[in-house]
Amino acid sequence: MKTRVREYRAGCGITQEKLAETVGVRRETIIFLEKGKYNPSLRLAHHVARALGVGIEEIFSFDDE
Amino acid sequence: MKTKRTLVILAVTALVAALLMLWLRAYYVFLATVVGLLLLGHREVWSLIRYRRLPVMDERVRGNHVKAVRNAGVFFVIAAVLLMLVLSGDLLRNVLAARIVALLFLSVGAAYLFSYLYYDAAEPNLGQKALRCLKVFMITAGIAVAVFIASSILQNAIGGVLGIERRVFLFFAMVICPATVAVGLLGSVVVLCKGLIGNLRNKDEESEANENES
Repeated sequence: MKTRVREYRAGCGITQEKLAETVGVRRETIIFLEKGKYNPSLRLAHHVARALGVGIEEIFSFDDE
Repeated sequence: MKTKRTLVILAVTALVAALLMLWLRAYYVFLATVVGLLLLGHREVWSLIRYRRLPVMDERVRGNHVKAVRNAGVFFVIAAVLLMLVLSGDLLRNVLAARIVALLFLSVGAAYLFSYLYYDAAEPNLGQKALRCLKVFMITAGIAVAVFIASSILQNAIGGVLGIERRVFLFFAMVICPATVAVGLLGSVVVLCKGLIGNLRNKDEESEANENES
């Protein structure tokens, strides 16, 4: 899974801690999300996208292979 | 732990159990209970002391807990079965040998628990090289445990079927494997601790940056 969470978060000027608090997860979860090492549920992906003010498909994308 | 009530119930139960163990003069069990509970609840206790609130139980943490409980159950069942198998043979009549094997299994169990509790916090701060090292150390320890089990079974099987003793298997099971496991476990724990120290530093730097921003 490719992710652009870090890019959009930096664009919004919010910290990992703040984003974690907004979407109701731990900071470590945001770190894993940004590194693409954790596949979030649709619910969490939706919350993150909403917190960053973009659509889900803009921040999360999957490789076909 | 989802709520403060759960934490309070667990803490009170643990306190009662610990006091009962003290009353029964089972000091080792008392110590193991206290250390085990502190290990399991360290995040909650730390968060309550520092932030006055419990840490969030998100979907990733919940998933990890489920996996940890399942895998730990599987591990201890397999370990118990194998230990009983080995204990039933001739290999462990020697008291020193029994101690080495017990220590080996306990170390693997402890390292397994430790890695599950702390891997999430350590992993983001470890570079590719450190992660490769961690992988090598863990594989080394795992292979050594597998060789230990195979050697123990072979020692007993050859002794029982052919009636001859093969000291090479005994040597592997009692000297080579425990030493290799010790190296693997020690290396893994050192790498994990390195990641944890990095995590603490990052948190401090980030909180300083946040304070500066505000």
